[in-house]
Amino acid sequence: MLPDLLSAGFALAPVWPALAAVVIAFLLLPGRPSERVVARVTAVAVWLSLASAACGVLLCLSHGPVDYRLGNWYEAAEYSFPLVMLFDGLTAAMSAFVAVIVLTTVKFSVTYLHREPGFVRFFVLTLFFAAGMQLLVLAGSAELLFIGWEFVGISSVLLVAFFHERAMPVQAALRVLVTYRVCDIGLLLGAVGLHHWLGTTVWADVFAGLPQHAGETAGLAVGLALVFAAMGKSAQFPVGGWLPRAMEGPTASSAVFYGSLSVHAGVYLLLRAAPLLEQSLVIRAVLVVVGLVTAVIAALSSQVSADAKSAVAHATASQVGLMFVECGLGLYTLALVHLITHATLRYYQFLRTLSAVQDAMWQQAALGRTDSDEAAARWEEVAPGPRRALYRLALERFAVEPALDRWLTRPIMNLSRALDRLEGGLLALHARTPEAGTGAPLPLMAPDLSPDAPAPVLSPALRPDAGAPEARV
Amino acid sequence: MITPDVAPARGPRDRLRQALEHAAQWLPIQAPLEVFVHNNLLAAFQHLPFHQAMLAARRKLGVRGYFPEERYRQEHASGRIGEADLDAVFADEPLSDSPLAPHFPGERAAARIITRHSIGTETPADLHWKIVEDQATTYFAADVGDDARNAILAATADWLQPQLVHLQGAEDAVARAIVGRPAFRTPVGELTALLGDRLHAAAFAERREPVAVRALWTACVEACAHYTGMPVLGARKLWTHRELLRACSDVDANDLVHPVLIPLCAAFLDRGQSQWAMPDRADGFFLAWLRVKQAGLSIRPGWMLGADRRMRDWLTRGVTAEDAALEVLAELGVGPDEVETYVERTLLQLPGWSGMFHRLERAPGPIGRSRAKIELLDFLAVRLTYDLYAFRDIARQLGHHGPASAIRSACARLPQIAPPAVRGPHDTAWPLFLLAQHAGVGAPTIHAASRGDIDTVIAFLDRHDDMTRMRLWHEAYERHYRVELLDAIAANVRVASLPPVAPRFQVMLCLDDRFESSRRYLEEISPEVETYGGPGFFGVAFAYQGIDDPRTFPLCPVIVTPQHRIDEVVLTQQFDLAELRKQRRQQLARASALFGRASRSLWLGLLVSIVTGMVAVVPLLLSIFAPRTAGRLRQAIRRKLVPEPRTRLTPARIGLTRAPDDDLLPGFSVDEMAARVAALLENLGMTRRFGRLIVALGHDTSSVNNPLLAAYSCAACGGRSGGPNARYLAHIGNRPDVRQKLAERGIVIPPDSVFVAGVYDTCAEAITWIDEDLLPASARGELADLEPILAEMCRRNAVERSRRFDSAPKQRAADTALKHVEGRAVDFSEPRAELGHATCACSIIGRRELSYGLFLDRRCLLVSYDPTQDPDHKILERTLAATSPVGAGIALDYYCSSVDPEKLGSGTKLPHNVTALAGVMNGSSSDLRTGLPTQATEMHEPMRLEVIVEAAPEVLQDILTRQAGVAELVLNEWVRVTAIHPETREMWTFDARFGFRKYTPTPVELPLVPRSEDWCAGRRDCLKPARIVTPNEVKHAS
Repeated sequence: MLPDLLSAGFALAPVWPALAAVVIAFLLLPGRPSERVVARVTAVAVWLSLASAACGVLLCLSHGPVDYRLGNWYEAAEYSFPLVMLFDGLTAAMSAFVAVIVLTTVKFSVTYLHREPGFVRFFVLTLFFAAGMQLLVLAGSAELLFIGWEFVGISSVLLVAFFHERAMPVQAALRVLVTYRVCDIGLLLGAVGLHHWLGTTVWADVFAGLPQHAGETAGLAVGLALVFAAMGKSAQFPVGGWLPRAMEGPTASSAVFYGSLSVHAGVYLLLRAAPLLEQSLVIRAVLVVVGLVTAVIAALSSQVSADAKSAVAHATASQVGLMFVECGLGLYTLALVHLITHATLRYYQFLRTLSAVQDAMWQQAALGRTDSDEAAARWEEVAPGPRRALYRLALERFAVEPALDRWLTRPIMNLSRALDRLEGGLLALHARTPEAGTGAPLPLMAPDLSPDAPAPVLSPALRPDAGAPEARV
Repeated sequence: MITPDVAPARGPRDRLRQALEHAAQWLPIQAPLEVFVHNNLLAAFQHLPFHQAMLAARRKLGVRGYFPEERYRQEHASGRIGEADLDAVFADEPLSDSPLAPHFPGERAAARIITRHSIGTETPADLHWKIVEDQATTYFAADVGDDARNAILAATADWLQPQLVHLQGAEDAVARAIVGRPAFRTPVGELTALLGDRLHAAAFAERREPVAVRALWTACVEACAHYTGMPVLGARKLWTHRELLRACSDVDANDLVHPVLIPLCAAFLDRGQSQWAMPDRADGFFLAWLRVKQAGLSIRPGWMLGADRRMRDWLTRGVTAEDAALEVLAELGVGPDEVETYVERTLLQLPGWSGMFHRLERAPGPIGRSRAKIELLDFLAVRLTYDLYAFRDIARQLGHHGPASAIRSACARLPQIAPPAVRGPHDTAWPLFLLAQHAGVGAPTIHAASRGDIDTVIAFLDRHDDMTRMRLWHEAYERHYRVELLDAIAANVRVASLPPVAPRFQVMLCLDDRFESSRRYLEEISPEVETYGGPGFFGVAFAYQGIDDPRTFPLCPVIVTPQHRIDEVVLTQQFDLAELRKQRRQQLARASALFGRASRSLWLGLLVSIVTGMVAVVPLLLSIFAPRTAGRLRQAIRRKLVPEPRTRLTPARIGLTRAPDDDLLPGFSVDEMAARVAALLENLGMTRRFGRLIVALGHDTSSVNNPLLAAYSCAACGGRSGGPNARYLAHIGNRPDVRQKLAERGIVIPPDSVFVAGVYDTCAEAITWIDEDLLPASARGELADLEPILAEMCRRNAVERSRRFDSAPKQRAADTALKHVEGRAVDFSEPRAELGHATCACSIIGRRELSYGLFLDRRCLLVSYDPTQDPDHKILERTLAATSPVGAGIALDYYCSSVDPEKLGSGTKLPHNVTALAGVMNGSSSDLRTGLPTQATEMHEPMRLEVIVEAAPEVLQDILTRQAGVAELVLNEWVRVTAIHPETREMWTFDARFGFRKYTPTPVELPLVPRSEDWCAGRRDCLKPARIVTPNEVKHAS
């Protein structure tokens, strides 16, 4: 009885925030709800979510891992979408942690975002994020995790573009979106691969079925696909270029996404799928290499970052890289502890980035420094040549982005441009000029074709060209 | 801007230097964050009259100098701008009342219609929407008055009457007159659709409005047909490479350059944020950049094809930044006559960053001096180099493979995505059409008008473009407040009476608008308190080094250069304690520095994040869920860890009259002290009677997680605490030898009057005393009596401030309000710990009688000045010279940041990212944001400071001839001045067009309330002045 109740309570952890988001969305229908109402609804939801997570902790302490199955969402021939959750120590710890951080964020943001035009939007997105994060954590199958994963991704993108009236946030959000989408293919392929390989994506069944299929190439492929997905979400080499750009949103969302929860979701995926990943030495080697490379690049970039938020963001990526290494080495408990403590620390550091000036002033005063270079004179003992070279690499973040841009993005863009020209040429063969993109001005006033409305007055200069191609045909 | 005294540039080098100098004047002058001081964000335009400056700033910087018209119309609808204000503004305009054209309204009436209804050109999309969706050419605009409607209907009916009689067979002509040449129908078909019926007289009678409006529209379109194809007024010619390339390709070179350039600038200018400073900073940006970018191996961005070879070549040849800039300019084909403008446009692509280079080149600032050699020329050279390669890359994509100098001519031959704007067939007709509607001018009048008449009207409309309309609106907006204020002062002066008895406490505060309420409450609470306001450095300007400071900081207005140096010295018997404090602080700082470094490093980071991550939960949760407790805890721990030794300030200087090496004199001599105190007391008009306590409250503020902390502190002390100044004043004011000298000058301070110093934290509403132990026993007793009064003042102040905060508790309980403001000061999720100078609007320089008992809503800078003690107006002259730049700076900083929060202000605070410890960026790569964030300006009413001076206008005019700085502000109307005659109380307001003009106040009955709270509590908006019954008046009445 008790475990059932606790399980049911735990399973509700993602439901509360999702429900609250929907409620607020409905409150928007009659008009903009007051900040107080939105804050109340949000607070209630995240407290309930925390209570659910507490149920999970209790459950885990009293009954150990539980495989909680709610039946199928839908079934089709040979395929069913199981609603299944896996409650174990990892889930309980992560879920409680997510609930606490989200609650803190909500409390912080109610004050921080006061009077902001996007106030309601921010909370709706944060709630969606909380729901996605809890679902991702609780999910007992790859598909369910994928849904949570996407929720996290889309809310992340929309919060980067929170100030969408300026161009930079939108460009940055697009960048994040593209990286996420490309890397999400990994998760999708992983899920599909699991189906083909083992016939199930339910973690418990997968892990149970693994011993019979040890050492198969399919396992390697699935594992690599999942690692690729984790790399995107956790900003690892070489797809981590989006992380510093994602600082365009409000500080609170930067802290919760890129200091704390979202950026660690990749590590969580690795921990979740650990039994699968540790089967293959290749995967473990990939994890160690990717993690180490990221850790070194990001740590050096953090050292040279001259703005407070990038410095913390790079430092985050570097520690997350170390977590990848830990996962590769099979140190899962260390990785989990590292994840939670690190996420807390970075969260706090992010929220405090605006104190940078006061902190630095205080520090310089206490140490009696009048010259800022004293503190930053590192690597002085290294000869100037190598020092400059290393500094350059650190400042350019080891040129990962220009490399990707030159050898991946630009060729793709050139190809698409070539195809566009080809299409234009083909259309021209049919005597039709393509309209968009040529710069031809659109008619000032489109004709109003409804019979009772008076037709607008259109000057001869703007009349559709009498010699339009249609007329000629 | 070519100054005639500069000889024509001889060679390209001189030309470049000169161009750089000229361009630099348009860059923002904002200081690094820690010394942020309010200044006019458009200071570069201050030599121009205000409205002309706004026009010039829009042309040069693309900024908006007023609220959007829509906002002013809202303010008009809500009563913030009245019809009387518009009347007054239009009466002052140099317009004639003769008709614009036959049967048109007079110029003045037309201007008013144009402004009132914002009649001007519309974007094609707007126009399309209005015509097609709103049916604006079929029905009258909603706000057209009945008279105008009827006039148009009648005129149109009269005009159509003869034609309708012979309708048969002439349908086509009639239809053409009414609907013109419709695009998709025959005129008759169109007219039939308009009438909803076939063409017969009854249908015309029934559908009078559509017929009249459409006929008017048709008439306007036909009358303006000859404007079609003419260039749009004010359209900017595309000229630079970037503009032309963008127009042709839709690729912005800045999108390529900025992501590379901005991190470089940040790294180079960094004053302590990064843990690894850029190598070779001492050689300047250009060289450091060349060397770093040529070191080792990396991958260059695709668009920088060929840059490596050139940079290597520059490095081996030892090319300077100047050579490089000239080379690139030549390669870009920028002609000698274009250099100046081109450099200016280039620097203004990133005004924040280039401004910071410029600022740090001239004044490195007190903290975070680095070994970097900062020069704007270096920045220009690097920027131009990147630009060159970006331009070439985009040009290549457009198919231009020739030299860079030919890019512009190549672009000129290519089609543009958005061709230059020309007047369309309806653009010119639309404003005419609206004006005609509102003026009651019908189609026949337009038909009858000659082309010359139409041209006159159109020219008039063009002259009243949006800038003119916004200017007029703004004048009305300001006038409303001015009239309200002047009337209230006039009404107040008639009845206000200061307590007749000698005061027991005299409290001196900063002139800051936030102390308006503090002074009001003190007087409201006790008739024994007299208050004074003046610049918060209390007349003692010095460079100060406290026991915790690494070096001296000037504690005086930025326009003053301190001549003296004051140190905080630890008492001999407390040396050990001081040593312990120093050690502890060093240990703490080392620990925090180590933590900061370790948490960002690789292997240590693993350890640190695991250990401190667990610990960090406590401060994190505590400071978010219980900020006030967390704040108190932090303070308690700090007090416990870092002991506070007792200290004194530098004693009197004896003997030394000139400083040996550095130009700062150690301490003041007794003569100088006496001169400072005397000047201060004379300025304040505080020379005759003295209370038992003379309290100097230095201004300070506290808030956490706020990069702009300095903006909220004492502007008269360089954005730092005014505590040391108050302390020093009390110290010298209590010296017997100083008092002796004061008595010789006729200022006799009785021995039982004692100076006391304190610090007033305007955010947390807390007052702390300094050197209390030095007070004689009698004074301590007096202080004990004063303390409850001050405490009550803080509590009431908290209530008044809380009315502006949505999140504050709504009960009027003073204690809850006080707790609330205390919490704000330590809450690190709070982006507006206090509202600073927001809503600041006026300044009163004069005796307290003018404002005594008047509720001015914390919007007024109060400067004490007594004209009766100033026969030769010397005091007024120096008061104006010292305070008007500060006041104007505050008001104009808020003004600019409010009217254009994105380009002049720094936008919302939420994405701000402290960069290089010098400024803030949005996110991780943007220009440095200057000005104030929207959180500071959202409730501000942008107005020029209304300065009210208690002096005769001739006196002011006389002072303006001598004080150039004040004259510039006043004559160019960057502040609005009103003179109040000290005896007759007549008022003159200054207007550059008319000089000092007499203003006769409208007699008003001010609302009378027993306590300020009764007037303000629970109301959020700006409040009108009210009269508070002060305690001494109650006594008189009873």
